[in-house]
Amino acid sequence: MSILDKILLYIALSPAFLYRRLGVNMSHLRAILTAKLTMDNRRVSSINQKRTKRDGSEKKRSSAGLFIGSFLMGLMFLYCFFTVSGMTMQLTMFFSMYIVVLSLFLITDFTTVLIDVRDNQIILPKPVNDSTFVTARLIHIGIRLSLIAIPLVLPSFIAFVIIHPFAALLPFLIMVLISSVVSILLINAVYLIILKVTTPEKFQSIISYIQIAFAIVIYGSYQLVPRLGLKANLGAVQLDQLTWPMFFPPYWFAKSCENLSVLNFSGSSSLYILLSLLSPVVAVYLVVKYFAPSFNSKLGLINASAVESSSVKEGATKGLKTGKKFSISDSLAGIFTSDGGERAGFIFTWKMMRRSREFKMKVYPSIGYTVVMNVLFFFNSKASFGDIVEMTSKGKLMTIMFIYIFSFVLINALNRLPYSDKYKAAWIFMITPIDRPGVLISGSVKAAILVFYLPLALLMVLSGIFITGYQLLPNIILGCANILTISSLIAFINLKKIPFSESDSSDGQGENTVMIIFNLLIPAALGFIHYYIFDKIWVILTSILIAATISWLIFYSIKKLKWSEIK
Amino acid sequence: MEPVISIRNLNKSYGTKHVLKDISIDILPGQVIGYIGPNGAGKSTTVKIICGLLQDFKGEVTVKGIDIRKNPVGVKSIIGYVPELAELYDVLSPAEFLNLMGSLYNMHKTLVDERIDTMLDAFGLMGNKDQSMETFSKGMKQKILIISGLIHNPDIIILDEPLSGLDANSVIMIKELIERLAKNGKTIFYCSHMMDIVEKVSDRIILIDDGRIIADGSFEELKRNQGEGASLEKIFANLTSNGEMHEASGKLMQMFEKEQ
Repeated sequence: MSILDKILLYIALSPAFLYRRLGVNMSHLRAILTAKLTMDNRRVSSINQKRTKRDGSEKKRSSAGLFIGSFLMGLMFLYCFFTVSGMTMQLTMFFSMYIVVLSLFLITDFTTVLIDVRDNQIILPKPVNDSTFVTARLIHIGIRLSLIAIPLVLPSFIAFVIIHPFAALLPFLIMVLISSVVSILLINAVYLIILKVTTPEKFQSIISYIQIAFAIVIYGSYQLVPRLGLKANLGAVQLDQLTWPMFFPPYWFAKSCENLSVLNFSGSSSLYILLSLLSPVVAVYLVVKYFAPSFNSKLGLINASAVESSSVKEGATKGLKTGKKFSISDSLAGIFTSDGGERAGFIFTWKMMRRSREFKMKVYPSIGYTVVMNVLFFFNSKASFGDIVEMTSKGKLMTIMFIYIFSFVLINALNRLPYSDKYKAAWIFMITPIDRPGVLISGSVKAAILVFYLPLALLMVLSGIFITGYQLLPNIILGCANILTISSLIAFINLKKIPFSESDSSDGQGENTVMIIFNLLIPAALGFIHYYIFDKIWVILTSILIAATISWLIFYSIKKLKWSEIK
Repeated sequence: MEPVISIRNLNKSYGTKHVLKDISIDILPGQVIGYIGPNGAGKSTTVKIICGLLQDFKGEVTVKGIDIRKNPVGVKSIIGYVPELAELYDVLSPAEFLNLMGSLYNMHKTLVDERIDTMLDAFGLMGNKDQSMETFSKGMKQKILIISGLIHNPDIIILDEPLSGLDANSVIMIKELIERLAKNGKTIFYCSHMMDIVEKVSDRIILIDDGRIIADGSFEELKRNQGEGASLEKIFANLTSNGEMHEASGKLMQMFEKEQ
């Protein structure tokens, strides 16, 4: 537990007499919460993907990391206080952003808190009474929430103190509290709706996709919102003259905050105050009345599908689409790999990449990041399609950027290839007669290239032809060939490991940072050179040949890797 | 007869810990070896060396005349190893996983497919052929492990606690399978803590304790040395513990009795 957790736990447990009156066993409560908070700190949250290490010093980072992460997010809210004037407008924006961000934080962070499968096996068989169990869960949620919400609000709180009269402070805090509660209930509703429309088996994957989307949204908003905001003239908007905000809870919170601070209880203002105070009550009612009855049994099903595997029946419907004779991976493997170990590595990696939730969580966000980077670059350069068609210097730069930035997805995927939470299953590669493990790696790298670059490359070639005819084609092909070279080089240097054979935490952090810089520098350097030879068609054609040869040679060396060279 | 596995003066240390001390064994084709010993006696280390997973040992190990240090890959291709409680890439289906194993053993795809079908059918898992193994029970996973150790029709089969999690019917089937494989000239190396099963399946029992062989012979021979009518469990206890476990359970009971 970190100091933060200890303080929050101390505060949460201080009204002991109250808990005892509810029939809570205090020593049980303390034991459960201590264990839960300790476990939280050893978990990787979606925001703070920094790996925790075994040596204790970094174990404590998780809740501190969450704290800092949400503090940084909180800084973004300051935007509301400095770009628009008038408390209502500022607070409407603030509360909208707060509810959205908090909900997203919660949805990514709370899955494991709300749905802890192990509770059923560990706590329920012990003599712990229901009220202790429920209280522990509520306090746990409360502490997690505070760890996110307090730093999230902190910057805005300070800004609020500076800008607004002291009298408004208490209403502000009350409204923050209410909107936090509303967010929790919102998340509950989202969970329940997901559970209603889908099967419990898919629930976990849907949550992971939401998490991936969240990572992209945060990155995008960090990059884009301030720039777009500068263009829009939000200061001129007068919310009071519009009718739609009346149906919008953040507006109620903002209005009540303003009215409470000046003790204005006229007709419309008391209505907003009433609405604000009622909204959590109504939300609780809705959740309890309409969603909850099926919730517990459904949650039970999620657990059941994860734990009670004995329920798998013969011919159950949850089949993978592998029974059919034709499969894409097999036929692609036939084209791109030679027989034996390389093909095995290819098919194995192909399937693992597409099915392992962990791998997707780590790699898919980078697709979003690169798209955001490209969009950003497009906006900043103020280039148009005309520039690309006419191959002006701006257009050339744009083309280069598009081609090279997308390589980051592939590079990221390649660097993730050795890792898996199922790393122990790699014993199969040790006991089988594999002469040169390099063939496995080369098959695996080919699979990564096919999944994470080929579609993009095809898209670029096609859009290149569509926009400019054949004019841009040599350059696009050179770009792709260069990326092939870069990625095979990175694979050769970095991937001296059997695919999916290593646990994530054994990775050295320092080495990693160097690699990231290296990974970014090489494409940048090649892109830079490419920019200067853009118009020289013969140079381009020769370079394509050179790049292709180099990649072929590197692949050849990868295949030749011996066991003694494998880390 | 030429021994199929020959171990001469095998020594192995992990750091300062001397795990195997001068082990020498000759195993003949068609033998079923019950390899037993207390926890930490050095069983898995021996198995790992025979499978070619550990290279830094002292002594000589040859499998079918192949020196394991010179050609581990050659040895791996004639050994089928079923590790204890091993992890699987469970996002794959049995068909996919076994296909992967097959290609790692350099088998032809049509042969692999044929064997997968026959073996899954024999183990009653045909209906689960294309399901992700994530939802499989412990017993189902164990069956897949056994299949993956047999799929390339190896001459030597090393089974490490292969019956854990299996139901009674599957246990009977495996026991029968072991007998028939041995009759066909396969050599089986069976590591387990379940003494009653080792007693029944093996025609030679090797007991190691603290890195040394302390008994080697058929069950009948062991009984002759240790007193007629003893079970393997009793023999095991006599040779490895000096009655310490009685003392230990006594201490535990004393602890509870004191509190009452």
